[in-house]
Amino acid sequence: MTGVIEISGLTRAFGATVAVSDLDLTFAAGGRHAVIGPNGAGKTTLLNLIAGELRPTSGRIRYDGRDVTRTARAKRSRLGIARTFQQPTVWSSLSVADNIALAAWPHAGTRGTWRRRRYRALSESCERHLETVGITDLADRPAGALAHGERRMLDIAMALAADPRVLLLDEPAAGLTEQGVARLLAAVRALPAEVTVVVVEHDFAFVSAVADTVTVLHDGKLLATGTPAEIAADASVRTAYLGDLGEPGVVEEVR
Amino acid sequence: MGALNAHLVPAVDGVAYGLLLYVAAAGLTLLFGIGGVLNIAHGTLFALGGYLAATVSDGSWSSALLGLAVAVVGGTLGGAVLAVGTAPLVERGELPQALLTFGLALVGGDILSTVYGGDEHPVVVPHAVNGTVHFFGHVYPTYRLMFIVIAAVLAVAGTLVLGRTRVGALLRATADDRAMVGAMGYAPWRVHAALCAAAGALAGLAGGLGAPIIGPGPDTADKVLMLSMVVIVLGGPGSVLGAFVAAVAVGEIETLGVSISSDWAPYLLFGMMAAALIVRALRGGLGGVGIAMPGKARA
Amino acid sequence: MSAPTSPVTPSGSADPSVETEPVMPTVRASQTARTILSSPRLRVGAPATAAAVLLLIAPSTFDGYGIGLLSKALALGVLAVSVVVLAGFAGLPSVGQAAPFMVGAYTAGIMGQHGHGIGVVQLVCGAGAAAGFAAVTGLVVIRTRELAFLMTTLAVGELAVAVAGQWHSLTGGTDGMYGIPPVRPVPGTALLDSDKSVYWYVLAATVVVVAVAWRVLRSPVGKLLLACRDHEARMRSAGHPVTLYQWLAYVAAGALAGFGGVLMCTVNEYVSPADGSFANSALVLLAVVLGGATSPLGALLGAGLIVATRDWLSGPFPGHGPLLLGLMFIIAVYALPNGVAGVKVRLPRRPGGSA
Repeated sequence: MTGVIEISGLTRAFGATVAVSDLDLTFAAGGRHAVIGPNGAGKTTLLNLIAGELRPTSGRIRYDGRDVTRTARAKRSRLGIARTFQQPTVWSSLSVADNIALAAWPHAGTRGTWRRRRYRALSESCERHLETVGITDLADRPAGALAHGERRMLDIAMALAADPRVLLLDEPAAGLTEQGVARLLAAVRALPAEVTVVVVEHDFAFVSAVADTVTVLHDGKLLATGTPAEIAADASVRTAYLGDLGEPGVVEEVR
Repeated sequence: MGALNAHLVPAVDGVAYGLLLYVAAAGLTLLFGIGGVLNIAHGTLFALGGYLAATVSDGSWSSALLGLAVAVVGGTLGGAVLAVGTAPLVERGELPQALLTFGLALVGGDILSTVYGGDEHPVVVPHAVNGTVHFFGHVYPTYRLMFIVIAAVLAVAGTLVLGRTRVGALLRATADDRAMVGAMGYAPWRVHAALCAAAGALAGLAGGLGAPIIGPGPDTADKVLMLSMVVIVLGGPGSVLGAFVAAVAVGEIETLGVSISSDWAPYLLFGMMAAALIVRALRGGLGGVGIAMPGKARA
Repeated sequence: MSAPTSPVTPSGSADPSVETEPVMPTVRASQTARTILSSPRLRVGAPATAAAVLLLIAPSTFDGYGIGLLSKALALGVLAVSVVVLAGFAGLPSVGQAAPFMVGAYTAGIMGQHGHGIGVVQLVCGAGAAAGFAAVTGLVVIRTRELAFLMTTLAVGELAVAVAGQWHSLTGGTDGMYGIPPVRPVPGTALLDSDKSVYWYVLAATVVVVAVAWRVLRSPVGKLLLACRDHEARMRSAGHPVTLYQWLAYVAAGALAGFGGVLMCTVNEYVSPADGSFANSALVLLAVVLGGATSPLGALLGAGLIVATRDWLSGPFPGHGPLLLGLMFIIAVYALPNGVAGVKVRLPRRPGGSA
């Protein structure tokens, strides 16, 4: 099976804590993948490793056939891996429109964006992303003044503006209103079929609605893979969740 | 052999100078590494200690001891001013605190030059150690030998406190992670105040003790600040042994180096510093604070 | 800046120029969205007009000493604008920015002594030499952050000063370089041999270079830098080569500082290692704090205020310039948290606000 992202023997340890342990995984191109698991299962760490925010302790990550294990974060982004954050971060002293334009900048494929005219054109071409997530009326607002939910929507719009081939979403539905979740779902469904989506999420209803493949992580290891229905019926998955109930995750905090 | 002989005196001087720098740098590094304050007023506190000791000393043992005590008290009070001044700025980060200490250094320097004038103040060392001793056919001031012993004792004591005691363990833990103190149940403002006072006391002590070597004068504050800074950069912040080796190396360059080649010694000093900076930059920043990403929660 | 009521003057007269004053009353104190880009023209207008009037009538009202001070303030102001680029926009509060300033000054001095007395050529060469200096030192400096950045820029600055003090054959050593001949602005013009002519030349050069800097900072380039300042990791995530941007900003700020240094050399006809001292670096940081971290114009005004305090207000108290400056620092740090906060942008946001 050819995957757009192929992970082999991936391990990441934080001191004595092993967040991701000897993981082999493949995300098929154009798939809608979900990664679930109890707190501390290593989901966010996995996203950070794919995006390049973290370097693995050992193992390999291949993207589109090339080894990107040691490729810098910014370079991976330019290659087409975009992401959103659990704690959405924006450039607070700039306007919402500027945030989107800056996110699109390295991916726009045009030169001379530093010129005012080109920048304005880029900014205008990004308006559709604001529309997609429903924050068009906030375009001129300083991003630092946004409420949490609005900020998350902006974060998602920024990831879309990067015109990604692989989109990593880290708990995108957390803290959103029902309306927000609906918009998010619509946005993900509206993505071109060739875009690969990997979403880390707790909300299984959301996962079922978005994903065609679900991967379950437990203690940094692969526990199960299957369709949402198969996973919902899987006994080992339930044990993993119930067994860990109430045990606060450590790794989850380390972005 | 003859050349070696001729350089023996400056070499021993270098040890004295280096030990003095070690004690002086200790105060700066304490506040820098643990308190997170780049204290530009450090040299001013050193100079304050020197002036106070010079004023009190008249050649008797009791006056020398009194001078030291006054220097330490003066330094501690200066540290207290720092503590009061920087406490409201802790939440606002490193730069406002550094700027405030620079403001205090300007004010303090102005006060010192108003009170003590623009000349160097010679210090009268106790008569008993004002003479010279002979060793290996060389003449050497007794005071400096005594200073080497005292400074070595101080250095060893400080290292032991840091390495073997509860306070030392707390300090080391805090240097690694400043949130530690809070986690261990100490009020952060108390720790901050104690650090400032201790750093001030160390600066005052070094100033008083070292007055016969780096006499208090208009240039003292800048010189001590810069040399202490060099010691920290060379030794690596947080490294006790590194600071010791760096201090002695700087001391030797400033004495032995200058006596061998006065043209090249300063280049050597700053060349070493540049090399240290480059090596650390390549390895990813100074003392672990290098590539800290803003916005990243320190969980 | 008239009445010498020392400590009150700085904060009071600087306030109107602080662009970063709360435009939006509802913003939380920490991560403000102070709208640097929404250009509150009125707020900038008043002090700018006052400054412009002062600058234009100065030559006919001040004596030679006063005009000289104003020229110095302009040269120092260009250095302060370089700190605006670096600290206010790129979020890199260098405490060694006087070093490229000194490199520019020495370049001009050496050129002048070797018969290359054309002002424009000196400006270009001085800025170029300082940019080269920044390009090399930037490779080390840009890799550090926070306290380490302060320490490293300080060390680099002191290193440069030490080299300048030792390199007798080139720099004249610690005594400095005396008797640098006056310049001609461009070939065929008269020598600038009076305080007034030097002043007009320095004013023109300053206006040009600050206008260029202002325009660039208001362009998308300024937004790139602000975004790096606000959240560097997010910029990397978005695919921006942040380190390259920061290095370029450092080099550009170095060139600006060098430009200011050339002007300072033209004004003083003297260069010494003291031009690169930490005190100079700290003074322009103060100017930026007084003027609002992201305002080039504010930085110019701040520099004027500092020179006025140090060399003019201290007239009644000879030798106590440092005392006044020190008090100014202390007051500015407490009274202008926005100015300082704008400069101090690399404070990691600690969720609990622990020390």
